[in-house]
Amino acid sequence: MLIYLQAIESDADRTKFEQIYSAYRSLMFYVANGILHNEYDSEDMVHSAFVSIAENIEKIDTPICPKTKAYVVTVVECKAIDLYRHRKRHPEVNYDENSVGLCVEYTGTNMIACCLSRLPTRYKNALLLKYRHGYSSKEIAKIMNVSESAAAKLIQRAKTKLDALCREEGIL
Amino acid sequence: MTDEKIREAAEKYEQAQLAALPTPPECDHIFTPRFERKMRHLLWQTNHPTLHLTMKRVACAAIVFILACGLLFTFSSDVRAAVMKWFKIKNDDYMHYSYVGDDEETSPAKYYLSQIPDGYTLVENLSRSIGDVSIYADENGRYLIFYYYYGLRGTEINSGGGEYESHTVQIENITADVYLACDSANSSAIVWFNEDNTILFQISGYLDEETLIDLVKKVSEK
Repeated sequence: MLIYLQAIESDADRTKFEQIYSAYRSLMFYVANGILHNEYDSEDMVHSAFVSIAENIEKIDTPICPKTKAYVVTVVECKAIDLYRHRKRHPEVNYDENSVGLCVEYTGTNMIACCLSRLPTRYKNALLLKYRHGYSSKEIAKIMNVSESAAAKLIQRAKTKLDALCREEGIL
Repeated sequence: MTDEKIREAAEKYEQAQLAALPTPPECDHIFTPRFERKMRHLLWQTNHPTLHLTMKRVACAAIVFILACGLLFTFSSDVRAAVMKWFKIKNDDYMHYSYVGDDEETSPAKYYLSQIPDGYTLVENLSRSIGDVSIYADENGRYLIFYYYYGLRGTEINSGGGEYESHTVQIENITADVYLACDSANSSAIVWFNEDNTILFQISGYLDEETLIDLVKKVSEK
């Protein structure tokens, strides 16, 4: 009987949000802790990321899929970097915007994706949220904890930087 | 660069990013009870959005109501008067008694001490617009004074001070403040209000707490 009840709970009755929570919370912690190196802060950032995810839950069609996985990773990375940037104002923290965040080496054939991988993490995340997940500047601002105009500026700078990198590589 | 090209590149990059992520066993983590508690709360909120929103609205309305009442109470003497007449405020070492209601009736009740401690005799009775004073003295010239003040707007009295030890006592249905002089050269006092908070009574004298409390019970209406 207990197994039966558990089966009901794990399939139909569980909400989209609960499924995302169960599936990705450890991965999200791993990403946050890779940036912050502090379990306490990392858990706080995972919670903060889930608050943002809950606010945008209607944008997620399939809770368990590669796109959602990439999305939750991007959101928690934004949160962790935001805290990291906040700490930048404190002298004991050494902050390097270009090196912090997930290190992904793109080895495929899409040269623009290769240039994208070389962007600072905040620029990369802003472009991923906008162009891959379809978020508006207002929604990105909320996730990244900045004003709407700052988010719009960030996206613009990210595009300019990507454009410059592509020109350097002779792609454009 | 077109948005379409960025979109394609973002998709390709995301695939590489997903491939670079660790497998579930690699990122296994036991979360703290604090995190689990916070998440349970968030899960409840997302599972019951309407109820959560209603509760938030009710809480906001309650806060607004409390703040509005607080502001009215602070700035409107009429509102204060509706719920209190004589009231007290502790001000540093002193207790400040103030009256905020409308002026009470012109021929209010008179009071007297039906019994006084041995050795004291009545020296003088003073009748004033704000209340009456009965002064008694013993053979050593030490005074025992019984005051009562009617509610007249703006009446204020200070009691206590650094040289007094004060506390509250319950005498039947009366709550009174006792001010005991630390130095025997000073007189002690007891202060209380009538049931409606419209009259403030005070007895002061070179007496101990027990005698002061007994005297409160001896106050009678003429």
